[in-house]
Amino acid sequence: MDQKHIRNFSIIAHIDHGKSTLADRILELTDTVEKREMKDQILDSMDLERERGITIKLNAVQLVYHAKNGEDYLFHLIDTPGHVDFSYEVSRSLAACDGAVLVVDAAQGVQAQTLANVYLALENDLEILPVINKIDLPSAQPDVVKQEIEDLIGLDCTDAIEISAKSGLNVDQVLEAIVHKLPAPKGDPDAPLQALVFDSLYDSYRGVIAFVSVKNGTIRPKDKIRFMATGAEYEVLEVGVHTPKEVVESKLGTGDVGWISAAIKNIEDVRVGDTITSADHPADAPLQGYKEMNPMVYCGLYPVDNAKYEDLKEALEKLKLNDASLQYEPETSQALGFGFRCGFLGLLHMDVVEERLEREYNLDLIATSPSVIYHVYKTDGTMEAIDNPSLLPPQQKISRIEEPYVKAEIMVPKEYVGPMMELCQKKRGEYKDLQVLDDVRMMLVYELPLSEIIFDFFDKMKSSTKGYASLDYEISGYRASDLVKMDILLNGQPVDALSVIVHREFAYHRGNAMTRKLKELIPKQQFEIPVQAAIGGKVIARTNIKALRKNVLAKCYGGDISRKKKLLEKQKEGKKRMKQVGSVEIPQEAFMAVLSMDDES
Amino acid sequence: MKHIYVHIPFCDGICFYCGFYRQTAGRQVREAWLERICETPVQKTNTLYFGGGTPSCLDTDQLDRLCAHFADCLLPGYEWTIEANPENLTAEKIAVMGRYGINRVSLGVQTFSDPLLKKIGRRHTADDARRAIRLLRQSGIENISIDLIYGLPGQMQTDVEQDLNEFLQLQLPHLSIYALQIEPNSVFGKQGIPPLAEETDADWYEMIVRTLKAVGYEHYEISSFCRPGMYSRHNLGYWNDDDFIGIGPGAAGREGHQRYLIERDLQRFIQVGETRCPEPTDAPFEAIMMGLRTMFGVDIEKWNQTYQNDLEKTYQAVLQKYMPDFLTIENGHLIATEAGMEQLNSILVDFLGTD
Repeated sequence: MDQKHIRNFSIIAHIDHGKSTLADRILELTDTVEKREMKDQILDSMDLERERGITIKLNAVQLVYHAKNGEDYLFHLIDTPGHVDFSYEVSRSLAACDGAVLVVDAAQGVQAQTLANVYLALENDLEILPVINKIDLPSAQPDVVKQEIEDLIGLDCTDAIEISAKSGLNVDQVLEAIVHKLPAPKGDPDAPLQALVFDSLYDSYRGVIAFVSVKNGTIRPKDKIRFMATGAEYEVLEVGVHTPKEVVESKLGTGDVGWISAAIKNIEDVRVGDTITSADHPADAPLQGYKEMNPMVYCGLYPVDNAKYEDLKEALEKLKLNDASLQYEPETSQALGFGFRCGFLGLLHMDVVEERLEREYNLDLIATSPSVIYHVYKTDGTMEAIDNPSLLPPQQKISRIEEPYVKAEIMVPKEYVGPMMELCQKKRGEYKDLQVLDDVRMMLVYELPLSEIIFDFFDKMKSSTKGYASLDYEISGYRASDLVKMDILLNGQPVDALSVIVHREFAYHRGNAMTRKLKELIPKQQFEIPVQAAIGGKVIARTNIKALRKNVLAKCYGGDISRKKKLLEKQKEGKKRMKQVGSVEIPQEAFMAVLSMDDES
Repeated sequence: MKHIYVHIPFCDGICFYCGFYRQTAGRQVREAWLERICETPVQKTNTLYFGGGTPSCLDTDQLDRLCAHFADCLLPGYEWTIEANPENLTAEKIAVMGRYGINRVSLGVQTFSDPLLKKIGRRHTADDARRAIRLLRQSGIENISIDLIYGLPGQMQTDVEQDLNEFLQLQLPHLSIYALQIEPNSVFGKQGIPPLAEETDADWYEMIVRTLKAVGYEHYEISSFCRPGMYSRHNLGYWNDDDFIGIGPGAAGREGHQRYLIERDLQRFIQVGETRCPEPTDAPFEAIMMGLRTMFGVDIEKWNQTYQNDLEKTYQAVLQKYMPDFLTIENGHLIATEAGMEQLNSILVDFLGTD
């Protein structure tokens, strides 16, 4: 199809505003997917995504729309992940498009995520088509929401389409608007090849498959291609699209969005945001916007059963094939044995990886408390980047420690601005700005230590604003802070995996909260266990887990044996998920205790 | 040693703590059940145990027929126990028991506090219990055990002490005293009654053990106390890794180290007789699980012989962890100490973990 009849677009929305549902309806209306084949929300193919209502893996679908003017149009619907951890990926998949359908919930209105995504779309020069969803809800206020979009985003909403993605109401108008309001790709088919990589997928038979949007030129099988950022060169084996079934094509021309297979073994060669060009006739420069993504949050992952180390290693290798932003390297802990220090884009990314390891690879894991990367400047003038609290050099060798800060934009209803500011202050935030957004909402801007965000900021924010605030953040730089390492001692022995780096002023409170939480989580054992928090050998908090005294079934005769055995087997199952550290058995949750403790009381 | 257990699945009412197989069936069902039981062939045995349910809720005539069916199977020196409740243990029924040679009665007293008895759905008073014991003794049955429960909802430590005092004053040879277990299928379980706090449970348990041992009772099993030598020989069979035959729906048995349940379907039993349902059995472990409950422990040589294994080698790590405070080896027996008995479950979980 000629370039004028191609439309490349994404749907952008806040979580739960109906992105996936609208995508489903579009697939149905264009007969891309038969109704009976429809699984709800077909683009979210992984179980985890479906369960959490979030999209982790990007997908691009090609569909043919027979427009009311009698002409056929080729649509490429490019899906974007919907969480702050993946904002770079979002920005790259938006860069693969020329337009975006902005979906806003008619009841909830504009949220921080909506704004963040709209800004990303505007940065990528996309034309934006506003759509008001869920207008059939009793609480829907489409006019208010339209006004909001005009005020907050500056988009003209006179023609904003009011739809119900769920029932399909007015979705046909959205399709027409895509044809008439969103632009066709502008590239030059005769220019040297420039194809934007916006995602990749590992296929065990064909290696890494790159998903690309061809901005200029054409790509065909047997072409020699070069990844401009990594310099890797390959010969193309096959190209094609998803409809959503995989279809092999003879070429991908300018404006096409599809996949390339080239027997690529190493995912590191296929970086999201990189530009593919022809090795023989390379473009002068790559497309704009490539960034190397670095993990921001680290934690240790250990198998509960030490014998499963190799299994964990294999599982991480396999996950890595599909997830270039996951990093890991072996580490050892005195308490936990052999495991891996893993780097993630954010907390959600960490959760997802952990859950996939447990679920898809059937591993019982212990995850240590997440940590950011600290820049530790030593007295000898060198700097060491530390992502594992237990590796912090001794205090006398440190001249200062710097920690990553983020610029946090918090959108919050007026009545919660007070509590929200209080929370930010408490989390060592530095006030930057407060903007009035409309009659009811304000945008609060703070600089906050990233470590405080990953600690329990989301939960606290939710509870102090009844869930009405939304947060978007990006790294703003490193700053010196008065930080200390807090060690936890069980039965007198320091447990390295429980060490955390905390601000000196919070140490006493966190120490107390941490020891109390551990007392709650660690089951009683045959002996009393002192639980202590210490800084540089000085104990700052202490409690005791009393010795277990009685655990026996009173009655056990001939008819009770099976039942009693079941009970013991259940206790044994619980024990299997515990880690023996010295003489103390510690449940998995204890290693994440720092995240779930309440340091208020 | 041969053992037979007969389950009488009837009660006149349901006690709130009970999760046993039992029902409050009418006369017709009881008659039909009895007819079937009396068709069951029986082998010679050293111990015979009528449990329930409430065996004493059968009427005198029914009890007579039940006893008559089993009276011939007893070997010399036998022990024949029947469980009974104070409210329906009449002089007539005791006379029947005496006539057939029942020589041990286990009486469900539970507590001597009338308000508490009422609260747990019992249908008798403390005086009924005292009267029943008097009647038994008058008829020459001296080998009497009573059941007590501690940790009942609303029970105070003074109540428990009171119950112990009364037991001691009665000068009975045997006591089974259980911490209340909240059974999921009991009234308490359904009401969501919480179990006794671990600390209180331990305090009271230790107080009970201390008190009874001080006046010469043997603490021969976790919940069982007796005058020297007056053990329940039938129950020792369970703890001593013996086989036992189970008769009647709700009974359990073991033959050739394979355990089974008699199908808990009274109607089917009445129609076609009993069905043995095999239970998953892990005899070597079960021998340890049961053996460690008593002060005699597990006979290591016998265990090694029976299961062609080496107990001390197989469970080396567990023994190392728990000896000498919780486990000891005396005269070739692996024995749980008082402290070990008190947290036997935790220890057994480690025995489970080794295989």
